[in-house]
Amino acid sequence: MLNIVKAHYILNMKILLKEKLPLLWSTALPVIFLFINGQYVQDTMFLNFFWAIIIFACYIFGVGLQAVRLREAGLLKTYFSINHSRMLFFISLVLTQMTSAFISMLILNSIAALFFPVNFLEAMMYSTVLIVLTLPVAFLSANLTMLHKSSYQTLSTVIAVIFFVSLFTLTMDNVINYVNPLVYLSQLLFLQGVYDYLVYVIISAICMVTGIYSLRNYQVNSVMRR
Amino acid sequence: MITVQNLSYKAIVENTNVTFEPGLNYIYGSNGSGKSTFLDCLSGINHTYSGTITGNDDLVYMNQNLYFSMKLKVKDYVQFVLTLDRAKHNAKDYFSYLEGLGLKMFVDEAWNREVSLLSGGERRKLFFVTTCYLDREWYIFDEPFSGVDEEGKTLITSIFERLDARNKGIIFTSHEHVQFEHIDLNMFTLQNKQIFETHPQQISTFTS
Repeated sequence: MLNIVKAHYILNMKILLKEKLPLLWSTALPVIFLFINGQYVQDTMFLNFFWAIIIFACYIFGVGLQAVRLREAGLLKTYFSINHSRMLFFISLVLTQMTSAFISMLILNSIAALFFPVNFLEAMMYSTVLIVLTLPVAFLSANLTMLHKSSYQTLSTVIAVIFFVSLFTLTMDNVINYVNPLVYLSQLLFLQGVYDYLVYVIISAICMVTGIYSLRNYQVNSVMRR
Repeated sequence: MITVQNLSYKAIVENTNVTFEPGLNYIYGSNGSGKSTFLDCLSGINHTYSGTITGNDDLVYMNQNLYFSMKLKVKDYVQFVLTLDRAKHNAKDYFSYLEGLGLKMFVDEAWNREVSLLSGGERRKLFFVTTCYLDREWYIFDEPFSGVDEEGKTLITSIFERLDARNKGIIFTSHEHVQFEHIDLNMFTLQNKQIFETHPQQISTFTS
């Protein structure tokens, strides 16, 4: 079982390092926004918005959309014809993106510690906790694989629009922020009281159950091409 | 033995019953007759069919279209396949196997090249020999002879003979007439959404 995860993980990491664009999304973009919004960074916890950008880029683009992309490219036919394990394939995708998120956080936190009043170790600790707390988002993104009739191009465009609208309204006092996923992701480190934790557990459970259901029904064949 | 009972998938394959015995099984069918769809169901890649398929737990399947990240190297593909295969094998065994087939130099030379830099025929050869290296009860190939030159066809035939000698089961499709000199073939035809056992003479009639 470990070998299957290892095989997919190593392959995913090689693909990730070959394709520069995903790394650019998850690393350069938050760094640029950090400098644009530098005046808001008063201490370590102000980095939470930038961590949320990394999490969104890694778990939505890197897990759910990547699963759709690999299906459309036909690669899953090759993978699953040797070994069928859909769940282990998904676990390896998540592990790859956790690694990617950690590397991006490391770069962002290092730069932030150099230029702003930020404690590097504290930043690494909290950002790592956030990577774990937001794991249900990776499961939620697996639901994208259920949209069989939407092409990768269409889905990635829609998600990119949501991402950029969320990004540009993040620091504004705007009504859109009531449904801004980046706001909710960034606030996960500030859960307080039974009500907050209960809501987190219920939403996480929904994300995970629907994600696992989607993975069990994950069709390897693309309807977009043979 | 792989047994297919009442298999139906969309309007491509309908209520099909067929049994495949170990040895060489050749499914003939014209273009677009549903051969790839049938193999997708048989291999478990597609599990949304109705009916039952038993005995297909231990198999490997090579598709007609070969997919792998083109930016990665040949060694990445081989290492991925060997690691994915539960580490039953190692690179040393793999190269001994290639040596036995006279292909060690080919893979050695290609080892550090990107998959995209291989020709279609070289890519097919690499995928085919690597697939056949894996230890399974059944080997399924979709159109393995398609677009392959005479040398490639000889290689495929000799590997099929080796697998057959080890009592493995092989199922392959072709829209062309295929002949084997040293192995008995079980022949099937996919026509009108059904698969039925055929005699060689009947296939010659289809292809003439």
